[in-house]
Amino acid sequence: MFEAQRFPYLQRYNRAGIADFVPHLPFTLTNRELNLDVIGLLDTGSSVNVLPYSIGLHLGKIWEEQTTIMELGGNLSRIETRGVILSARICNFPSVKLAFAWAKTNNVPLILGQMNFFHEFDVCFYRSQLAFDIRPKSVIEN
Amino acid sequence: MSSQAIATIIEMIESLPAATQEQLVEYLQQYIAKLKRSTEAEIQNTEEDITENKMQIPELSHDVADIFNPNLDYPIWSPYDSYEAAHKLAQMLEEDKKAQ
Repeated sequence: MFEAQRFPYLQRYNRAGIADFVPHLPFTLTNRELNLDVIGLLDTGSSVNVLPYSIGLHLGKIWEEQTTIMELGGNLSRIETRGVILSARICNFPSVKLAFAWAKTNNVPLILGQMNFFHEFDVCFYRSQLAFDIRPKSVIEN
Repeated sequence: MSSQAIATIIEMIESLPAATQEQLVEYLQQYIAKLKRSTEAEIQNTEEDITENKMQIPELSHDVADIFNPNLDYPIWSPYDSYEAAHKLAQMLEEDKKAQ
């Protein structure tokens, strides 16, 4: 079992200039030989992972080649999204495959949601300490 | 706006606690954004809203929910309840696993 890694909440400002702290996770996305360091928002309420359009392009994904079309809720219901799979590496943990709803907009954060980020990682939030712990999921053997 | 009016507003804001000042500034920013977007009829409605809400402003620091103005749009990007999309992604991962 891997030891959990602790990350701090990062300060973020909204449009009105008001600051708050949010659980942002820095990690690396990979597609074949292309790597990109990104920051994802841990969002336990999101059903899926969401990938902004430009990040998919940076990693060599071609929109027209993605055939799994899906509809999302919230503001993204008006935006076309397609499924893509990328490799993700967090700290020194083994790489995992993450499936994303690739949105055809850059006006959206990179969201790490239930399918499948929270399937792959156990996360414990300590809002009172402005920190969260993360480690690969525990494999329960029968 | 005249400098006298601006001075009056500054004086009013300075009389409030620091936390309330920040919330008031956010509230005013939203109000001004609303004014810029609205038609004359909507402006009248907004002014009525502000008048009705004015007495609540000193209490904003005690109730975060009051910060949000129901007349404005807030971007909520989290795709809640998108279970069908989640199932599609799960299927993609399963197929990707089989292909390797």
